[in-house]
Amino acid sequence: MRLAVNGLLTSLLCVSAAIPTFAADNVTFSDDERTSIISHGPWPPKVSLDPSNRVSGNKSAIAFGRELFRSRFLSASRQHSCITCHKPNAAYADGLALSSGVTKVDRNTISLANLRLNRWYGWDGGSDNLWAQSIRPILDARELNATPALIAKRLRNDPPFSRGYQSSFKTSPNAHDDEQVLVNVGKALAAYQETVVTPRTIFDDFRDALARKETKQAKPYPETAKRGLKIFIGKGKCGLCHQGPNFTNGEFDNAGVRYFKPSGGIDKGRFGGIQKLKKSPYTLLGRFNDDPKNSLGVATRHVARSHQSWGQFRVPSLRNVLRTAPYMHDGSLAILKDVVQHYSTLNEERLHLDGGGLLRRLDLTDIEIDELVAFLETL
Amino acid sequence: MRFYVPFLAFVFLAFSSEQVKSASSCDGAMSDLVEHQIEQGSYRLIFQTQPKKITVGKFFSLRVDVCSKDGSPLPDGLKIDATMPMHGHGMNYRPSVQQLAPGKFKAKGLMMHMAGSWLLRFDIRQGDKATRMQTKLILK
Ligand code: HEC
Ligand code: HEC
Ligand SMILES: [Cu+2]
Repeated sequence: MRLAVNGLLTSLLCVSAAIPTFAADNVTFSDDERTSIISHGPWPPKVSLDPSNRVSGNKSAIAFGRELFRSRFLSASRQHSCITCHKPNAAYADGLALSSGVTKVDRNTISLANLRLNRWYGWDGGSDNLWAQSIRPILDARELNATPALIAKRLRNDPPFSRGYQSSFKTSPNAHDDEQVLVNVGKALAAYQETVVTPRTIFDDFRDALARKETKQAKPYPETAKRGLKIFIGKGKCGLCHQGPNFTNGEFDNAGVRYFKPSGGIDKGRFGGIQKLKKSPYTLLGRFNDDPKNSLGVATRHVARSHQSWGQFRVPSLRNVLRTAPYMHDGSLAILKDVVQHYSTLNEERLHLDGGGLLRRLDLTDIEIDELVAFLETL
Repeated sequence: MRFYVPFLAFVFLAFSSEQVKSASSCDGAMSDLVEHQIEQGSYRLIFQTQPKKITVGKFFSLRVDVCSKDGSPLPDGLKIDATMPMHGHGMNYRPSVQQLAPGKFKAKGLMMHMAGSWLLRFDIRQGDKATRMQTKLILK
């Protein structure tokens, strides 16, 4: 379905871009370029279960988490649920610039997919694991506005949910204290969300054919997208941050997006995220981590903030990016072309004041902009 | 151009101007960490990464041995840092360093989040005397 739509879009673009460059023959790639293209796969990558969550991959917990995700039971007013903002038919996002629950939130809803690949969660990386990130909206006054006591009480008094809990955790919610019940709700939600993975795309077919050194493919990859890909791994330097199979290095950077909050004040970005992390009882360094070896805790133990963390946000994955508009942490860019134009006309002075030296104003031509967009649409 | 190839992540070490010298009075004191050496002032520093290949976005550790070429006392402090001079940023993590014995250290929590040219810096301290030793790494 999605492939078909993509194919149509890109072929339309091909027509418009092919006119001025009619004579241009097939795009070819150097050895270095091939190496970088191949580094954006394979897809889907192998992932392991989350060692910090003992119900990761557990069938009962996945089913229980799926119910919780859809239920209004987790909101104090019983009016909202996770799918208020993470709609399964909208790439688990909401299509809004800024999300809204009980009241407006200052950030764009992140599309939920491929979550086992994250090291950090949230635009500011305020959580180091998925279950903690799933508890956050339950307690946030602007989102679901509940408390541990409220969630635990409701769960104990609701027979179907109590049964779901019992079959996931082999213990009745009556035997756990309120906070433990809340954390386990987060772990079941996490088990469910881990199952959302984006499908292979025509880019993956192209990348695999290149890795196998095949010259002819069953489904040809559009020449326009190839030219966009050349810019992505070349002069655009996009692949430095949007790195690897998930098109992100999982870290934080400053892409020159304003960080004044729409509601006033400044979004502290990664700086604030590290502050939140250090205060949270739900990190990998806390008592709710189920991994006795704490194999993932090294990042949380060593993470350091600097003046550069101000204005930094998580480098988003570009998988499925056509379907996750609007873009950036504040949803300020409506369509992919706006994002590419943003990189093309970056205000370098502002960036350098903030300490970044990697991004440069690209001054792309209109054709190059369309090519880069055509490439992004194939991811 | 080559620097911007965000791939596999082998590290090729290119040593800065202080080149590796042959045998010196240090030799007897050295361990088996013969991987990478830097010399500066009275000291020779040898380090080994764990795992051997540094991969973009993956945490690694270091074993560091320092010996003195002129008999001056072994360092009792070490700080490690890495930056990308061309991009104007460092690592997002601060490594923790543990001293195993005089001149012998182990560092954990290093992570290089981007392909390209990095400068790995060792600041060793002996009393109030500080010596900086550094080496360039190209991460692919
Ligand atoms: C009011 C809208 C809203 C509701 C309701 C909501 N979310 Fe979110 N979600 C967001 C926003 C906005 C972000 C980005 C948050 C940030 O960076 O500060 C987000 C981020 C996330 C992330 C991080 C994804 C990533 O890649 O880092 C996860 C996981 C998540 N939400 C899960 C949930 C779950 C589970 C629920 C229900 C318990 C839920 N959300 C309810 C708006 C919402
Ligand atoms: C220095 C690292 C860096 C480089 C280089 C970079 N990006 Fe980004 N990109 C980011 C960050 C960080 C964000 C999020 C910024 C924010 O929300 O404030 C982002 C956001 C995006 C988004 C929006 C995705 C979403 O879901 O909101 C797209 C699309 C994108 N980048 C494409 C590109 C393209 C195309 C290039 C090359 C022209 C590029 N990026 C180069 C770091 C980078
Ligand atoms: Cu860099």
